[in-house]
Amino acid sequence: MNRNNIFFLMMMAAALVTGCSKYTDIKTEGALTPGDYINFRYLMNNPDLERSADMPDMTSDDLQYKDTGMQQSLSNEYRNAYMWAAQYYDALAPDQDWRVLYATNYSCNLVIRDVMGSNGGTTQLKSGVLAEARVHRAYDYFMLVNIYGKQYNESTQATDLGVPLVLQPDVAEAAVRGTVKEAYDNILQDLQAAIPALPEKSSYNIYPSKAAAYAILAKVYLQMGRYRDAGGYADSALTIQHTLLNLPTLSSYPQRTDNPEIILSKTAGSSHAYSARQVLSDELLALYDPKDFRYSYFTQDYTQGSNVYRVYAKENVSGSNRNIGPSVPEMLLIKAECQARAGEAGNAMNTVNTLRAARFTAADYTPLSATSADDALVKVLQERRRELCFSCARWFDQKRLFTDSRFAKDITRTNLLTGESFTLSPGSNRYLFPIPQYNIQLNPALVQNPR
Amino acid sequence: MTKKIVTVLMAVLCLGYSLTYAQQNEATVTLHLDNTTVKEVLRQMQQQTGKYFGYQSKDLEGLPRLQFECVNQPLNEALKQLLNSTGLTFIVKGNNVLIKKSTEKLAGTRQIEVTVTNIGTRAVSGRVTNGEQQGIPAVSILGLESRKMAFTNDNGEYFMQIPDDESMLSFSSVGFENRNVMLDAGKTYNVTLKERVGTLKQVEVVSTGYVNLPKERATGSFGVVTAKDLEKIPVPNVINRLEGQVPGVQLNLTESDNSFVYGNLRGDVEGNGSYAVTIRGISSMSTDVNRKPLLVIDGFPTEQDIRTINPADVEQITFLKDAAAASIWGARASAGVIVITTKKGKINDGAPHISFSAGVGFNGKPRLSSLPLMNAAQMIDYEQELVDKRMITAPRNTYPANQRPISQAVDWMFRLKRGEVSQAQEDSAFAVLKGRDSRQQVSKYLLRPASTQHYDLNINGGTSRHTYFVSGAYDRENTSAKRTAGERMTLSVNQDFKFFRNITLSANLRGSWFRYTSGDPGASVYQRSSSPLMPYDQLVDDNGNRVSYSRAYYSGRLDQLEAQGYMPWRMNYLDELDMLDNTINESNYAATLGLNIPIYKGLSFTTQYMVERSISNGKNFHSDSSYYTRDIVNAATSIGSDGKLVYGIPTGSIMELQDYSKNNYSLRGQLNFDRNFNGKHQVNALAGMEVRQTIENMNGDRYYGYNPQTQFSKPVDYVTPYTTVDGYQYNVMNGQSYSSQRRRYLSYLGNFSYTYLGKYTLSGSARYDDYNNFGLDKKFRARPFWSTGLAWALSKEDFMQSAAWLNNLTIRATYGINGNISTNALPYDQLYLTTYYQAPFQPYAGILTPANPALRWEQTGVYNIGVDYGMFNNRLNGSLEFYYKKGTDLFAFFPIDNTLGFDNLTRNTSTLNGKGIDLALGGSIIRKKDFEWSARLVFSYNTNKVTDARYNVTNSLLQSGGPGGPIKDLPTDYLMVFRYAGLDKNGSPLVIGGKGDTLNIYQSPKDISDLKNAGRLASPYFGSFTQTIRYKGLTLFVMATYKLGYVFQRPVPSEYPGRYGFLNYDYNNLVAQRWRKPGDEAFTNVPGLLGNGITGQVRYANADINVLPGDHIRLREVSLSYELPASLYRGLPFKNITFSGAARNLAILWARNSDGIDPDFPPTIRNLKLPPAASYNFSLNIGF
Repeated sequence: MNRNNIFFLMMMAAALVTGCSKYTDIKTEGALTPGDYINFRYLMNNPDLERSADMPDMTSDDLQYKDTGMQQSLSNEYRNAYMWAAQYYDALAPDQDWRVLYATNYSCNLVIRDVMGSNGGTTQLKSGVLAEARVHRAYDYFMLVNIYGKQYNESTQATDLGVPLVLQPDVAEAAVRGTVKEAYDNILQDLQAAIPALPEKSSYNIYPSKAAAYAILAKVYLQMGRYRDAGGYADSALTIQHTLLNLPTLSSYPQRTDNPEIILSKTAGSSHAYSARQVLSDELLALYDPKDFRYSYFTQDYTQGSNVYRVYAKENVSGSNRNIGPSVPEMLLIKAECQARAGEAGNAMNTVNTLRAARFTAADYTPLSATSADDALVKVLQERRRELCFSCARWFDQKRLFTDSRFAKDITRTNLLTGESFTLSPGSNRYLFPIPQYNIQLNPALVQNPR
Repeated sequence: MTKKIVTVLMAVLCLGYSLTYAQQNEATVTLHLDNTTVKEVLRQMQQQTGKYFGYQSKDLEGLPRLQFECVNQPLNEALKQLLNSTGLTFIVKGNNVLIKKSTEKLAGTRQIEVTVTNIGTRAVSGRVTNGEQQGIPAVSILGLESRKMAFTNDNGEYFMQIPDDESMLSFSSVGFENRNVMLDAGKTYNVTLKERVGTLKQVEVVSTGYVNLPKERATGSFGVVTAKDLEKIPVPNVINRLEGQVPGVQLNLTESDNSFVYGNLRGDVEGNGSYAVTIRGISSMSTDVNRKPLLVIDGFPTEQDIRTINPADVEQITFLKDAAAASIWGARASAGVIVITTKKGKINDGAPHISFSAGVGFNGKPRLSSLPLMNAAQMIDYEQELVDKRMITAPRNTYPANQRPISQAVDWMFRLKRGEVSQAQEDSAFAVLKGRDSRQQVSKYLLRPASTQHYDLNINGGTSRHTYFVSGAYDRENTSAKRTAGERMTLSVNQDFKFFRNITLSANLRGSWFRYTSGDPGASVYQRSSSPLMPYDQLVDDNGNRVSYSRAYYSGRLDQLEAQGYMPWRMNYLDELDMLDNTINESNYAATLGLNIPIYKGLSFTTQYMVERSISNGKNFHSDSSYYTRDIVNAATSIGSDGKLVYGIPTGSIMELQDYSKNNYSLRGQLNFDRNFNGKHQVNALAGMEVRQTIENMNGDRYYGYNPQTQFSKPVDYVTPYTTVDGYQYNVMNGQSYSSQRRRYLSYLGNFSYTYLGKYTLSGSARYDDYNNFGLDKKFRARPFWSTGLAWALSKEDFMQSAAWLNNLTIRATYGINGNISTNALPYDQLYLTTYYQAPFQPYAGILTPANPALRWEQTGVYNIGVDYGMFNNRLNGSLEFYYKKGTDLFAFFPIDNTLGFDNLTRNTSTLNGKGIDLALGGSIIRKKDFEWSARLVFSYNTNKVTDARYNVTNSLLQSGGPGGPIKDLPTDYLMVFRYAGLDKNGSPLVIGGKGDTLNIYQSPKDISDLKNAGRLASPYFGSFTQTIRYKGLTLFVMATYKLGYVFQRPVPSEYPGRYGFLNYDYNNLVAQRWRKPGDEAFTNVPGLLGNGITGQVRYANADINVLPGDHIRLREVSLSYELPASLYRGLPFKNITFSGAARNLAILWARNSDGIDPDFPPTIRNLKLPPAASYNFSLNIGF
């Protein structure tokens, strides 16, 4: 009897042990791991992919702070950037532009490596997600290499220091800076590889489309000085997307995601709607005709104490962060610049006028004309400043244009709090942002830019 | 020889702990007796010497009455004198004196050396029970002459072979009076031992949750708190009663005015910020891993918080402190285990015992004055400087959206600037404001003295086949914030049924119900914010009218908007309080069914099933006239092109519901074996398996335009954005959420202990745990844990028997592995998924943590060596333990180069050693029938040290100081500070670097030597000192707790108004001492308002001058109870009546910091908790 009992118990125990081994093979709800196609799709839906840089507007000559009060109201990092100081950020604080762009890069790398081997989804869907990741990654590196690396130069690109090219989702590796050439090669390669799988136009401008890839290619080639290619891709982008907002007839300025001008929406890292006002430089202000709707829409008077400033106000008008991603106006301006540089003054002016017609009331609109290709180029670049101010474009333009003696100029800024002043000459080392001290202390392999 | 050395050593050891002691080592007697019996002489000798005398009454019959005189005579001499020519002789063995008929020729032998003659043996057996007929395990039974020894099993039964001529058995067990039984021809001797009275009653059984072990046979480190210990501290939450009871257990209680109305009531965060328990310090650096001790109630882990337990239902609490004790619980035990056993009825207890108690408690007035706040004049002066330096700008001149509210004083300043008022008008207005102190009104209208109520009833009893314990209790706690309170009702029913063949069925039911009301701001109106209540603000004006404040925007803008038809947009503290309707109703149930089937000679099978449910329903109702609702609705209202208001959110009340539930079950099958072989080999083993499932559900909802009368709400469009009052586009906040998480655990476990001769114990345990974790592969999630241990009951060795003063001396040594796994670090990327309602409203994922392919388990090897001792009749007792923990592969959160995409990463790379000492020392200084005085000291030491050299001192630590990441050779809780050198001529902090160089705020420290190690933030030395004094029915209990050897930071102004023009008013009174103009640096260290940036503020906040020693001794508890003499209620149906009064938190007896700051409650402006006010509790307890 007792023996039977024991036997019975042992049998029961054996049955339990075998029966229970599957007990724990359930998944925990509420958390995801990649592996399924849909999760890679979700990763590429992340609105963080829309985030981009902000600081290049602080260093550009679109902006000017001429009195102590305004300078005082700036945070340290903004004031440092404004003065092209040796370091912008406290060593304690991560450089937000660097951080945001590289954070996006990780998601893109993960998708690029793994999406094709994921479960579920069709090859077409997977290729689409892969292509989106490539476009975002190309955009990130275009921003990074131009903020922290040297201006592209055909002859020295293979040795000029760019930014770390992190192309695998691996937190174990140590990042080292690559060359400008490697960055550009990778940008172009990503964009070209992405194009076939992208839709002509995406449902929302936060998702990359063929138009977006073409538009970024246009920006990249423009920066490289390859104007024929730049113009060509600007054209390709415009073929797909060319709607302009007619500012005079707008009842209200649309939200970013509803704005038909935006080809790929990318937002500035931080909004200035509530904080340090971006005061237009005298030079930029002088370019505006008060009848220009961009003047009344995008700039406002701002009173501090007894002083009145003209400040950039698009963020106040739209109630959201400004877009700095490629847009229809930018494509028109690239196309126009390339036309002007190709000697086609008339075509260039026509292209510019297409844009201007949407910026003035019919009564106030007068088409621009140029006396020569050079004149056309000057006028296109002026229009570029009016249209693309405070979208990080000007700083990149300064980098590429100031090497040209026609446009080269020195900019001098004075820190009114300390009395120090600094003159930024074309080609200065200070045209490169410092590699953030925060990163160098964690990764000494990163080489600092000479200051 | 060896014996002597050991004896001498032990004696020397004990000298250190010697107390005033009535009893001499060598017993002497002083007797003056006339015409008395031998029996009476022996009785008196027993009384004087405390030894146990044994004799057969018939041997004393017929002896003549005698006269007996002796003065300070050694017992042996006295006995010799007494028994001379009576035909009797005596043997003194340890504490036992045996009187028997002399079998030899009368001789002058003082002590008879016994030689066991070969005259055959016989068997005796029986059962040893306590007064309640429960078997007492591990009672040692000693044949006085033969030295044969045996022990009872867990059921109190024994069996032993003794020589035929053995005449007396001595039964002894810790916690019971010794008893000697004279043997006759019988074979069965059932013995009842009396529990030793007095406060030093020793615990005899420890519980791991799986098995109850006699303490004597436990090798691991167990800390035990009994119901008697708990009774002394009348706080409704068990956790508060555990403070200072067990060495090595550190309890941080941070609720100052309640015990169970936590700030965090639900989910993982439950109790966080209200209490924290660490058992022997931390062994993990990561916060991702489980750092809360596992709570086990009646054998099963519970997901319910300890507040659900009625303290009166608790029989015993066992802390499992080392790996040998805890490893049976596997990975979940890495932070230690708290095992709670609830009360049960007693077999053959007869009539129901009824016990009723009722109590009330009152706290002193909340101590608002302890907050280091500026007064009105100082605040106005501060605001004037902010305005003068344009750190506050006039709201009128800026965009409407930017028109932040300003205070009364600032409003005057701007009106003066605009010329609307004269200087004289401002001066007279300020004169009025400066005369005010809003703390008086806050005390009057928002605060109250906290109070408690308590009622408890329990009934228990039992027959031979059935026992029961039924209890119900109600508690209420009103916190010092006027409308914040909690009620608790508990009910528990424990029953055991015995069926045929001794099959036992136990059925336990436990329920607790809570109702909380919350939302009262209390003292938090002073919390640092953009618009706190200013010192000169009023809640009620001089005419008795309630005062409203603009909080959303500048009052000028609010006037304008209200004129345009917006709802009134001011906040009134008292109206809000009246409308408050935030409640949480919570129900908890737990049921356990257990079946124990004896199979064969000590082998039994147990199966147990436990089910637990907790449901918590939270409701926040915001009436349409509440500020909360008006603010939300107004903010979502814009003015359409036709000039009419466009509401983005429907008008009407807003109701938020937050439901939370837990649903768990466990099922366990277990084979137990407990048997003594030949009276020598005690084997105790168990093997079992267990499955467990926990489900957590959360469910939230939010209704707009809700009408409580009709119970209808208005539909809203979450997708189309509305226009805010500032013209921005927003979407309606969707308050809906749902989540449900299921976790499953599967475990196999085994435990074994073997005791030889009751002296030598070897133990081992092993457990294999598997659980589902995000579909993680088995090799990452399942891992065995094991432990082993040895114990040696030195005091039971023959050679120790001559050391009569030594009752117990046991040496224990264990080793085992504890482990832990991070819930966040995984070998592949972990994603989060979010739903985004704004167009293009797609769900999206982000990366929560990046892949970490090198992931392993954390592993901590724990060594423990302990000594348990009891001396002089156990009047001096306690334990001393040393432990050492060696952690490898620990998770650590590293900052990494964010070029790789992440700012921080958890890696499995760190090593950490920990060590400590646990000491408990109890002494019964006086032990008389009517007067007892005992004292107990609990002392703990715990420290740890990072041993991993791979950590770099991070630049962030160098720049900011404060607590930081792991650094080799430092404990994990170090505090690095700057050597502060005052301010420079600009009012900016200067610090001294490692080489004596002075660094200004633009110069960075380059090396760790530029900082100063200020000490540890957690106390390494802590414990308690308690005294219990009883005179007849009156008992006084005093407990002081102490924490030594650590530091904390003085609350300082952390930040002046920031760059965005938002004002974070910092109330700290140090602001009044700030640097204002060159020259001020001569007498102040507080940085000036301008030009310091974050660096300056951080260096000041983390300066050495702002580090205070935390060392303090607190008079935690004083209680006095009086048990009415039975003579007063003779004839009434009462068994006992006890009155008691207790005072808690009476004072900090000593604090090393001279600033008068309670180190447990430093008034941080972000999380304002007032230090505790003294509380007084009175209760009445009646037994029927």
